[in-house]
Amino acid sequence: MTGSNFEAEVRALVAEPSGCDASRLDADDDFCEALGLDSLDRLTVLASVEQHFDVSFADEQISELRSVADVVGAVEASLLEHA
Amino acid sequence: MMKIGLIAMSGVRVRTKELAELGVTLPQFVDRGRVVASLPSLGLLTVAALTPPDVEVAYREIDTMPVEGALEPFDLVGISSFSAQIDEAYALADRYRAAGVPVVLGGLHVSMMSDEAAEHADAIVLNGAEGAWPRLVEDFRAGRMQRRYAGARNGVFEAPHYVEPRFDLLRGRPYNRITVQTSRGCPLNCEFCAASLRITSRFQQKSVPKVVSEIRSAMEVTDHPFFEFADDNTFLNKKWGKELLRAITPLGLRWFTETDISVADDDELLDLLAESGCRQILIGLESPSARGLDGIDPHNWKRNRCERYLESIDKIQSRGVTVNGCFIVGLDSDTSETFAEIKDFVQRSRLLEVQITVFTPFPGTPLYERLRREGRLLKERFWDRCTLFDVNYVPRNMTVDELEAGVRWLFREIYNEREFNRRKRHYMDIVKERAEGIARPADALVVGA
Repeated sequence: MTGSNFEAEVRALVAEPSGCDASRLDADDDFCEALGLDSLDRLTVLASVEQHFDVSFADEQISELRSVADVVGAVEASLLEHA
Repeated sequence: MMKIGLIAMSGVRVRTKELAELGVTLPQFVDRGRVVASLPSLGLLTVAALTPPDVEVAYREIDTMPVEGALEPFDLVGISSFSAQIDEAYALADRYRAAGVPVVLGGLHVSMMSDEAAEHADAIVLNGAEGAWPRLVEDFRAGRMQRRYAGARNGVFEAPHYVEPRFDLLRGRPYNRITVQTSRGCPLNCEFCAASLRITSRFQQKSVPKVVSEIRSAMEVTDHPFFEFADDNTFLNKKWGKELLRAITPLGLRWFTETDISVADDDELLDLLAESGCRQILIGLESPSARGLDGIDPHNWKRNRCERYLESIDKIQSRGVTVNGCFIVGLDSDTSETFAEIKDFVQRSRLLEVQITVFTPFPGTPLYERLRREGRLLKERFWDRCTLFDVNYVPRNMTVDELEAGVRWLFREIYNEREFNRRKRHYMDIVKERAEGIARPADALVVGA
């Protein structure tokens, strides 16, 4: 998978709880604030990302993953670590 | 046109210095404090709705009032306050009265300490505003406002008393949480409880259509609102509760409420909670032990349930509905071991949120009267310390210093970043299990994790 594929898939997962179109979301925006999601939605998104890409984020990392760019970076790092 | 100013007292201010300093460093404590401080006053929005339509009403928060100098002009001011902010409410009332503006005081504390409140007001409203405020306004207009008005203790959700709160007054304001009340009262009648049961004769429930109408009205005034049901116990009547949940599911809400642990007994109710967008229920667990719960409510209902606490919490949370387990420290049966017992229970139960509060003798409660008779109140008057985090009495099995130190220790153990992250991870695991359709057997609780 390429980085651009990761981003499209992450955007789709981010959009799911709100039903909004996440394609126009700026990659560096806090996606919860931008899409009107709450903290549990954010955790749901991250859980979905973990499941979709079969990765696992460190517990202490969870609070820091707030934008599409953050999540894509974390997915890439996790996949590389276990490659 | 006559103009009435309704002023809400908001915010939670811990008085004990060491605890206040600790609290600001702990992420989950800061989170909840911020949420509580941002709730609008449902009581005053109801007062506004009870005001005749030819009277202008302004809703204000205390934080927006000038601390000195000229006050915003009104013909009449109404102030509602809990105990912890009552001295600030009295100070504001005194300022307005000194400026020649009559003041009406109301709210739970005023109902419990009416003689004291009357010294700072031209009129006081006892119990709720329903059945009292319309008469007060007409009397004021006619120049014959009385010193005391008693609101209805029953029938507040039916004609002629019921009104839909003025959520429109919140338009354009930065509230992202809105309160709606579905019931008043609670039959458990715990000794320490200072909630709406103290101003009502019996449990009263609003009809589901009225609740839905209020929610729809509130949704019009704010983007992405999160709802809190301002109830003592929303699901006392589970048949009504299921009707409510089916009615609100299509609205796509996210919401929170308070109820008791018996919701875990009803699988259909739990499924409906999850489907309707319930994010969290707060449950007064109070203590993890039967010893601690003995005598806390007149029928020992909570004590008789505590053996099933772990199983019940797991069952609720497995639906993706988080449980905010609320504990009280400093109960008469508590010892210096209690703090570690609570920490252990929190970790074993994997509660997704935790609220630790100090046993607090709010005025007007059976607890206050008992501790006063026993000579255990630190002071006769301590309302600014009724914060749920400050100690106001002599504990039975430890000193005040030991209780305060134990609270600080428990805060550090429960609300630190590591524990916060563990809770987040547990929620994510539940989400994944639900997505995979994994059923977790009731005996799959992690012991000693």
